[in-house]
Order: sequence, then C-alpha cells, then structure tokens
Amino acid sequence: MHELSIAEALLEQIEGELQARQLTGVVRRVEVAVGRFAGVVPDALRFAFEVLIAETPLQGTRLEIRVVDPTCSCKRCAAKMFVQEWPLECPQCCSPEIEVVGGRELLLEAIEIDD
Amino acid sequence: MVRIVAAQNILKANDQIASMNRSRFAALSLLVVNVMGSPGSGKTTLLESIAAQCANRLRVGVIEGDLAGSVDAERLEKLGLPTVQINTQGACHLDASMIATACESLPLEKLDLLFIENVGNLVCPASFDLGEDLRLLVLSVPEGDDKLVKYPVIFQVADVLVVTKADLCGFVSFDVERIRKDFARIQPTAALFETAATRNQGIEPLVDWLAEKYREKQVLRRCE
Repeated sequence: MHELSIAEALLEQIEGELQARQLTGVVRRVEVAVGRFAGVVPDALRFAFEVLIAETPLQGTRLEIRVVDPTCSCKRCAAKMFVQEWPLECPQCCSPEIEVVGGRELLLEAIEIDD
Repeated sequence: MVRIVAAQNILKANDQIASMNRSRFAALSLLVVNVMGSPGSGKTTLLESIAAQCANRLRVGVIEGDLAGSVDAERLEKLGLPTVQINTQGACHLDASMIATACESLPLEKLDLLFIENVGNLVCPASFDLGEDLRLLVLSVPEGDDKLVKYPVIFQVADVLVVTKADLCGFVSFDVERIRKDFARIQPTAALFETAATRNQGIEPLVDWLAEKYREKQVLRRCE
C-alpha cells in the first residue's frame, strides 16, 4: 500500500516539472518506469494515481507504466536469464553466482501536455 | 503537444531529505540502524535486549514507528532510553521527513547508536531511505524459512539479518541453514545472527558487531 505514497510523490514531481517550465496546458499522459524488483505493484500504483487525480486539474491523465526487467546472467556459464523472481541459482548450471543489473528503477520518464 | 522528458527518481524528494538526515548523523558520528520486520517478529524485544547489553558501552536512543499507540515506546522508555514515538496514522512505512521531525525531540549529540524501529511490514519499508547507515532485518522462526523467497526485495536491501526466537526452532519447522544459504546468495557481504532475546542468547555477538560498525563510523569521520 506504499504505492499511495509513491503516487503522491509522483504528483508532486509532475506539478514541480510543470511549474519549473511554466506550463499550464492539460496533461494527457505520464510515463513511468518501474523495475520488477522495485517492490511496487503497477496496478496498485495506477489505482492510487487515479484516486489522487480525481476532481483535480490532472483528472483524465493517462498513466503509462513500463515494467523494467533486470538483466541477469550467470557468472559461471554465462547463461542469460529472464526472471520474475530474484534468482537464487542459474537454471542451467545451478551456480549461485548470478549477476543482476537493474530492476529496482522507479522513474518518472516523460509528461505529455496539450498546449 | 509538449513532451517533457524527465527521467527522475520518483522518490527524489524523500531521498533528498534522507541524505540531509545522513549528513546530520555523520557530523555527530551517530550510527543509525533501520530495524525492519513483520509485526510480531520481535523487533522491540530485540531492541530491549540490545539496549541492556549496550549499557556502559554505547548510548542508545530509539525512534518507534507504529500506525497508532505508544506501547513499544513505553517499553523502551522504561529502560531509560531516549525514545520518540511516530504514529504514521495508517501509513505502512516510515519516510525520511518523519525521521527528520522525530530527531528534533532527541538528544542526538548524547547518543552513539540510534535505532529506528520501522512499521511492522516486509514490503513497504524497503522502498524508503531514511538516512540510516544500516538496515537490520528481523526474521522470527515462527514466520518460516521461506520468507526470503517470498519477499526478496526487503532481504536484498538488508545489511544484517537477525533470526529471532531461535529457541523455538525445535517446535516449528525452520531450517536456519536454508536461510543462511539463501541470504548469502542474495546478499553475499551481509551478516547473520541467531538470537533468542527473551533468553538473552546470541545478543552479545550482535552488539559486538554493532559496536564495531560504530567504531568504523568514528574512524571514517576522523578521516574526513
């Protein structure tokens, strides 16, 4: 349920970006990247976002969430793997030495505004 | 149509306050430990035992985070520890600004070790930096040895894992070696301690480890 706090932080950041650029148009789309290991549930984030923007100038804004998969590879046999869970061993050679790059992102990537 | 490309961390505002907290703690050589774990895992009981063991060694203070009430803070105040209670009013985690506010009511300059007991939860606290030096994760034996596989994110951010209620190992199914092996894979450099706080078992090695981390922080400050 910390997605509500994250949605609040996202809205503050959107407002900050608009103010910094002195933009007053209607926000159409917001693009966000969420890593698979960020501990954030995309549906919960979307739900919280929609609850927070209801009856505000941002009402109707579309939230696009891009789930970022980490890059995982085995240090021993060099197998590349796609995982939904944190990898504890290589599915090919069972080595525990797995390199995981990324997957914990939580980023506001872009805002689209009608001016 | 205007397109703004931002590429910014959504929790930037929290992270900025966390880094202000961190600078403040560093200037005081205060070692700050964020204690995380499920409700009922034994976080407060562990802190009581650690504080007793620290007497005459390290000066301990506590920030208690709970949805409501001050039951835990009262337990620690009884031990004579400077304690501040944060009520999150329903929020599932502590954030950096709550810590900044709580610190205003603590004699930080008279402390060596500050524990922040986070809201009991194995998910949400992992996302919020508070400005701490160490993240101490508590896992109690009755919770089961499969928690790491089910809640990997919080284990990934832990610097030290403390298995509590180890005296219950014979009564419930819990394989300490499984946890040790899985945790070493997910966090190869992190420490692990087995404790039974109500019997005062395993507390001393943990306090020695914390004291060493405190000493390292002081050395680091002198080097700066």
